[in-house]
Amino acid sequence: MPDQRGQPRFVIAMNDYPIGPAPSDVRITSPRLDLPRLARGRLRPGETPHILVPENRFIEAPEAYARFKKTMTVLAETPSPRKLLAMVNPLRSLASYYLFNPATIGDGTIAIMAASLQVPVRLACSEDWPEHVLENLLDYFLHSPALEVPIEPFYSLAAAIGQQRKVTFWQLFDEALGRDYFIDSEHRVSLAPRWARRGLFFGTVNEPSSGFRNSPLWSDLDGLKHRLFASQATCAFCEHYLYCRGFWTTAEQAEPTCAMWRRLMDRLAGSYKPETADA
Amino acid sequence: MTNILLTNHCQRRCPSRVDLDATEDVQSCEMDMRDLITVADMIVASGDLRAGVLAGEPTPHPHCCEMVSYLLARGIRVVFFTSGIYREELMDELEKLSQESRFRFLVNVNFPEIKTGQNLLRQERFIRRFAGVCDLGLNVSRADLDPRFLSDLARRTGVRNCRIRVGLAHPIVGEANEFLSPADYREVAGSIVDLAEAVFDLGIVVSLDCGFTLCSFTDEQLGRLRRVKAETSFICRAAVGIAPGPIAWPCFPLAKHNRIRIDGNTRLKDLQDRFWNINNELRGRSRKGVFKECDDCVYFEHRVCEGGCLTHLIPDAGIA
Repeated sequence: MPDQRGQPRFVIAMNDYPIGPAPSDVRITSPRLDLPRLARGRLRPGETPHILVPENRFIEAPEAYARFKKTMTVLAETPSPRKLLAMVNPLRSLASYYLFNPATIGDGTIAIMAASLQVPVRLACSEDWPEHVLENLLDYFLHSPALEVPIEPFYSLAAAIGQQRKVTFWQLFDEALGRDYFIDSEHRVSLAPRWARRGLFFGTVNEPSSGFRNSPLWSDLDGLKHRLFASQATCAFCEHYLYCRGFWTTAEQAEPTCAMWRRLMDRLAGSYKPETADA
Repeated sequence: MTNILLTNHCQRRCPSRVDLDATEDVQSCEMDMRDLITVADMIVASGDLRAGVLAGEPTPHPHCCEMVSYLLARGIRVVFFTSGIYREELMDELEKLSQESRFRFLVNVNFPEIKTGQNLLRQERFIRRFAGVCDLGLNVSRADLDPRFLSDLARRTGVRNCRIRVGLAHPIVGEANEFLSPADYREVAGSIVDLAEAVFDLGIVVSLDCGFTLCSFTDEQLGRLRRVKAETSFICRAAVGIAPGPIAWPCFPLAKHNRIRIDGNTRLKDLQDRFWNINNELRGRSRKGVFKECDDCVYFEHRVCEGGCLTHLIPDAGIA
């Protein structure tokens, strides 16, 4: 997928990559789709790794991650106010995001606390988010008079709605077809971990990447839009399709997840549409 | 400055205390982190980055130090109102907090003659330990007591270059608390001037809390206060208090009279304006100040003095 400057950019995600003070999950941005080399742990100039560090490792020695300043996401594991306060300064200065998933978010208070302390917060792609937690976070995002950092994906969605820019859930959750690739521990290539967990792959790192487009997974994803409109699925009439592009129809619990995000998007869109703001 | 009440627990039974237990719409006895975030947002958005953390006594709150750390991390200056009587296990955490430049203790001291169950030795030990970051507070509920014991206390504990905040005990709407009658203000004024002079050589200045009247002091006393840099104000400002709930009120004495539930949409300026308007309306329905002379007072007319605490007037306003 071409980036804004027209130069192709690929993002390759791998787990337990040999980088940093300890093997870490990583997303490497590269102008080349040279998967065999990247899978062997060899980076070239111009290739930027973004690492995912568990908070318990980060809090032990934040200075060890100084070279990953703003190219690092810290993963909440057992978050608490005390732990957050202990690492808030390095978290602010070094991390791009503090990442939460449904297992670590609790009632959302720690994520809100982090955002209020100017730590950018990100919510992982998951089909298991409790709606009331996302509502709390969205409520804080929409109404806090002092928030100065993003809570993703709400921030990017709000910016897209407000500025009428194109952003999709596929991009926000690192599943943009043609841009994002995930290499699993057996060197199989998929779009993202949730597809790999279902046993769906484009191929392996040792196959020519040009052949990925011929895989059933690629074809399925590429043909999603056509199928949704041909079948006149809910998406065909949904005002949020512009941002969703059927992302949640690919969820295992498609309908409840989709319905929840429609409600959240209703609130977001209601707050950020230019005509609503003017009114 | 916004006052944040972390809990309604307190180990002391001060004669002029507010009994928050009896406030029916304060649902929780302890502020939780989510509510504190709402309050901190409101303070940060207002631009007035100052908060008093109090209760009762804030330290019985199980997450008291975390909450103060959070406020400091938000860039808010914190004055921590306390009796200085702690569980020992809190000392290390308080020591850490005390090293933050935006943090100060205000230790509420009672007259030794008033028995509140406090352990004076422990309190004195606390003041000595944190002498560099301590201000002292005294609430005057009786005119016959001499506040100059604070000068001795400061000398014994090494407290220097700080403030002594002197308040008057006012009636609390809806409570039968002990308060100082305006008839005693002149007597108290004299002893406060004596205190201000007695501690000046230590670099300590006396700061008058709200509710004092200008005419309680003679011209000579006002001159003496000025000479020792005492901070005087006779104007009523809404010192917004926020309790668990979160519930806001204009000040402690009016805690049970005017209150409003706040949320993420509440702005501090709106709250202050609201309370200001309600207070003005109350004043308009009663005589102007605590003395009948206030009605014709030129200093009242030009807002040099607002005639003491509004709560003295509320029975006249037909509210209580």
